[in-house]
Amino acid sequence: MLRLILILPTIIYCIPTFAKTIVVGKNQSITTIRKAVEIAKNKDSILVLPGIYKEGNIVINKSLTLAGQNFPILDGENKYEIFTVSGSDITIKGFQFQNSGSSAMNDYASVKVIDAKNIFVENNKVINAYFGIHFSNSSYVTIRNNTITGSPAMEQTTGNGIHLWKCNHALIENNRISGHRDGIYFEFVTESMIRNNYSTKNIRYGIHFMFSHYNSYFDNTFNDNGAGVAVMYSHNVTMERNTFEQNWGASSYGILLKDISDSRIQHNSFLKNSVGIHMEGSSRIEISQNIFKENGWAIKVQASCDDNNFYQNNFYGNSFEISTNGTMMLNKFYNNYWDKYEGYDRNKDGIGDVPYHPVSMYSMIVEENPNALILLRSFMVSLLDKAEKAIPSLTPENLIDDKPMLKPNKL
Amino acid sequence: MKTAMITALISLLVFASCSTQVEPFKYGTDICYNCKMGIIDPKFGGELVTKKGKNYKFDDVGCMVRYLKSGLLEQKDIAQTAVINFEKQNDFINVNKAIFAASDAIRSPMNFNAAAFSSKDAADKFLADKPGKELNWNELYNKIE
Repeated sequence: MLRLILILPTIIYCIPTFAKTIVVGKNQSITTIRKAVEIAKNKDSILVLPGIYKEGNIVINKSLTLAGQNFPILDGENKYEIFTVSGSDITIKGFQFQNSGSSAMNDYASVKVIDAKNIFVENNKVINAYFGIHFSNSSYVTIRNNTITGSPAMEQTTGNGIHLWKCNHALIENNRISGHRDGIYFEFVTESMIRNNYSTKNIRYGIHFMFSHYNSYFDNTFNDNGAGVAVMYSHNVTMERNTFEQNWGASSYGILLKDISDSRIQHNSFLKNSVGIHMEGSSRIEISQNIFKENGWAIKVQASCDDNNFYQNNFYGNSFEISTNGTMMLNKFYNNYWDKYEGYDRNKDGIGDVPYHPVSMYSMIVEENPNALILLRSFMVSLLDKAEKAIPSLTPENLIDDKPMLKPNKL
Repeated sequence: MKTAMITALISLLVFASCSTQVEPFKYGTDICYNCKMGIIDPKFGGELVTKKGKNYKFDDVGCMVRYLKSGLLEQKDIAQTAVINFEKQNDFINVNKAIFAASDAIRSPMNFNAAAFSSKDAADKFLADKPGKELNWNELYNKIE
């Protein structure tokens, strides 16, 4: 009897579920995706053959797998949201979504998912959308291998490439996003991961976190966006092995940190940005093993930041290394390599014997009066900087690296 | 004639630099003075103009209220306090003439979720099918921490 009880579930499990595949195509008995979704039962698959489908808005609320063969085109004719999805266990793959509608009042998207669980959106192309892929109130979702390309007529007429609102356990990987407002936008999203994405030429940020805790992003590249990544009003965010490059402009940053705590920024590269990291109101952040190369400012630490540790980073060819707007400094700097360090090492332990002051006097003046930047390379300014290094008066006295490395840290 | 023109030019320069007019938002370029976020959503925002002609732009009316409450700018130095009309981009309304709709159906950039309208009718119409309520500037100001 006991054995039977044990075996019974296995037998039930092994009974085929008779999930069928519905084929949609011009010469098939079913020619529209809407019809296929209507007759499908849970766990069925719908295979869409190549072609152009203009069906307006299609609502999917059953557990289905929708797959496109050779990227059938789903055209929203600039009026419709193409897929509106809710429910659980739904996969959407291999489609080309184009021209989904835009509206000032509604966040129209090519694929919009609401109140859902276990959703996969993968291997799709999204062209000329308002919002690309939009999730709200969902959990356990995967967004993978999609190419999302926006072409906004004006800066303000575009939504985000991948937009998540009130979601958890999301995985976003290997996507390529360009021409949107924010490449990837997180609001009230927790325990999620963003990796291996390429975010370029977006109008505002590569990734934008708002009120989103316990998330991580790594191995992403952010190139030529309005600014790289904005992390705001969040805690426990891990940022690793990302590349931030070419974020040029008056208000452009590699990373903007605003009211962030208990987070890590490690093993990233910051190349040729106006500002590598701009931080305000941030506490308990470990910033280590990063490379800062040829930025205008490597790091701007506002006086509202405390208890942050900066160590084992390498700084090369930055116009300003650290700048701040206060005279108090409650952050620690140690074991960084500064290419402008001119000290010596008599005991040959690889650590300079004289502390390094990474804040130049002139950066303090520029902080007060940005127009003064024009005199940066003048003789007077270098003279003042040298004098300040010898006898600090304007720069925060305790903002020093007292163990500067003589050679770059091995990363 | 020449002198008149020069005088006109000079006065133009002098007055232009001291203008206390609101400056339209340059979407995708301007950043919020309070939260440092890029301004891009044309439905929301506000602007303060000081008597000396300096413009402070905000992406969300909540950011403007927070900045006003921070005391970094004194009330007596402010020439204009305006908000963006929810229905029309870059149309500024004096805060005392605006009617605000506060609703969870609104998602503003900084999550304060209030939209400004030029008339009570417009706000009524907007809220007809949504939960939420109408506030005037003082009520909104006091509501935001």
